Amino acid sequence: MGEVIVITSGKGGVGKTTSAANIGTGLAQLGKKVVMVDTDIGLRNLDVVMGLENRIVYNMIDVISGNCRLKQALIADRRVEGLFLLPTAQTKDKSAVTPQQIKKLTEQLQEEFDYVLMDSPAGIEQGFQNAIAGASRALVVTTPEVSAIRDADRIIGLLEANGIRNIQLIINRLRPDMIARGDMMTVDDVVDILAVDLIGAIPDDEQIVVATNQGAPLSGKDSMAENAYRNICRRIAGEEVPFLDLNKKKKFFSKLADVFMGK
Amino acid sequence: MILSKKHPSREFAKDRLKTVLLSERMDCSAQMLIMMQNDLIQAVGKYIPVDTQHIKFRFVPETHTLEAVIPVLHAQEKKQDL
Repeated sequence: MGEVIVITSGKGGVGKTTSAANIGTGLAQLGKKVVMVDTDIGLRNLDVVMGLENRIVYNMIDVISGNCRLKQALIADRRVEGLFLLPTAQTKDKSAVTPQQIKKLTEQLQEEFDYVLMDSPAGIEQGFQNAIAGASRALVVTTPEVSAIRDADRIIGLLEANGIRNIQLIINRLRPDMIARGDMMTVDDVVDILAVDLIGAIPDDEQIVVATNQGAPLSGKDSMAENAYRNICRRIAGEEVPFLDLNKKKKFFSKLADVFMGK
Repeated sequence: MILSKKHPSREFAKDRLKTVLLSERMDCSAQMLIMMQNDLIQAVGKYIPVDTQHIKFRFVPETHTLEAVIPVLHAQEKKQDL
């Protein structure tokens, strides 16, 4: 039986879909069988971030309403073995499916895959309820900004209220230069405020924009953000991986030097 | 808001977040929380000297309780203060 993991945030634009794409790709690169499910009905994006937008024939709504079989809607990523996308519908809205239907779908997917990654829409309405319906674990994405952290706190409360206790935090778009001059909250600050376990800290990185432009996450460029995502994947798979030291003020420059020296 | 070097914006962000989250977790307005905190400080301070600069309030979701950490001043520190 595979594990169903929801990737969520509350606030929009903090990197949920990017995280889903990178974590899905990274887990598949570790040899796992992975399906990424876009649950953002009407505002789908995981397909373009993955570069699979031209291969969509059927979608999740077709599967749920019985228009096609599950296998017909799954798009295999030809670049990474074992990686699949279940796209959502662009023309329907969030009320087109119920949490019960999603739960049934994830149960089906769990039998086939090691990991079922649910990419959640922003907000706390039905789209969110759909995304978490079958999940036993949640990755909450936030950035070190007051608005994103406030929403993350709300989401964590809602996840717990829905019986999801296994919650871990991804802090995205960290700027070591701003942290060094005291103008950005550190990883420790955010973890301390939200009081949940950290699974990854992602530096703000141009390479993510480049990879998204190309529709090719984790395409092999050894950027800091990509390495951080790879580390998250190894942690999800149960490995103990030390954290990149982004939050220590003084160590940052030596860390940066390490990166530039190719260490 | 003018930000001096001694008070980088990170500290403002932390303080504001802590207040807003405490208020949301407890479902009690920020204004009321501040009033309650002041009342608590006064009530305790009436009997024992407290360090008003380092008082912490925290809501613990697991146990659904409000935690107040009110450091008590040592007798010596009190004398120094006077």
